[in-house]
Amino acid sequence: MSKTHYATRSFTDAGTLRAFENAKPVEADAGTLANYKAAGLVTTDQPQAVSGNEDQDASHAE
Amino acid sequence: MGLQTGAGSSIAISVAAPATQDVAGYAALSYTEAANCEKIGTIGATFAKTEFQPLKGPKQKLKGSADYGSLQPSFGLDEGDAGQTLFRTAADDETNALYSVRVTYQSGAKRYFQGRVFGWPETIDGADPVTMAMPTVEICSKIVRAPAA
Repeated sequence: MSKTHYATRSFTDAGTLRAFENAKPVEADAGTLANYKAAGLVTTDQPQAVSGNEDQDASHAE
Repeated sequence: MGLQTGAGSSIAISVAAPATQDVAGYAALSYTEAANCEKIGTIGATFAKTEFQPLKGPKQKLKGSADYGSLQPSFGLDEGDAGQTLFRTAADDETNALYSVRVTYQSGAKRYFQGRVFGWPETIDGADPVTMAMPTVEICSKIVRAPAA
């Protein structure tokens, strides 16, 4: 099973007309994800803000 | 299919390399289209002309080395666009890695090739014109032509 990829920032894809929000999961075929990853638009590192309630609480406390 | 214009044409890029240098190899890749493309440029190889003038007879002209050419697409700069971002990544890439490029014509015909992006210059040309990016894509492989479906 492939890892979940998360957007490192908000971006759009002109070919598919899809829009992705920062820190939200990005679902696409492996080749498209490779393109996004090479461009620095996605990462497999889970953003702290969406990693769980504890992290969300911590982000609110900042 | 008769004449066509550039309207509806597009350019897209992939970080992957084709398994084979043919339509099937290129078509199997996933491409990311660059938004707000205003112009794509000229696609096609040229050959150096080698001439020989014998003492007797006409000048002979031979095809020399091939130059697959280059593209100078122009984009209205959109920093939130994935395709433009990948073109910029290819420009910033200091290795000689090849990227795969697909140009789609109005008819649906496609041109595929591998190339390197030499820079991502951005132009602010006054208050009113849209800020533009005009990379140079040097074509490094034979251009593979796929007819319209």
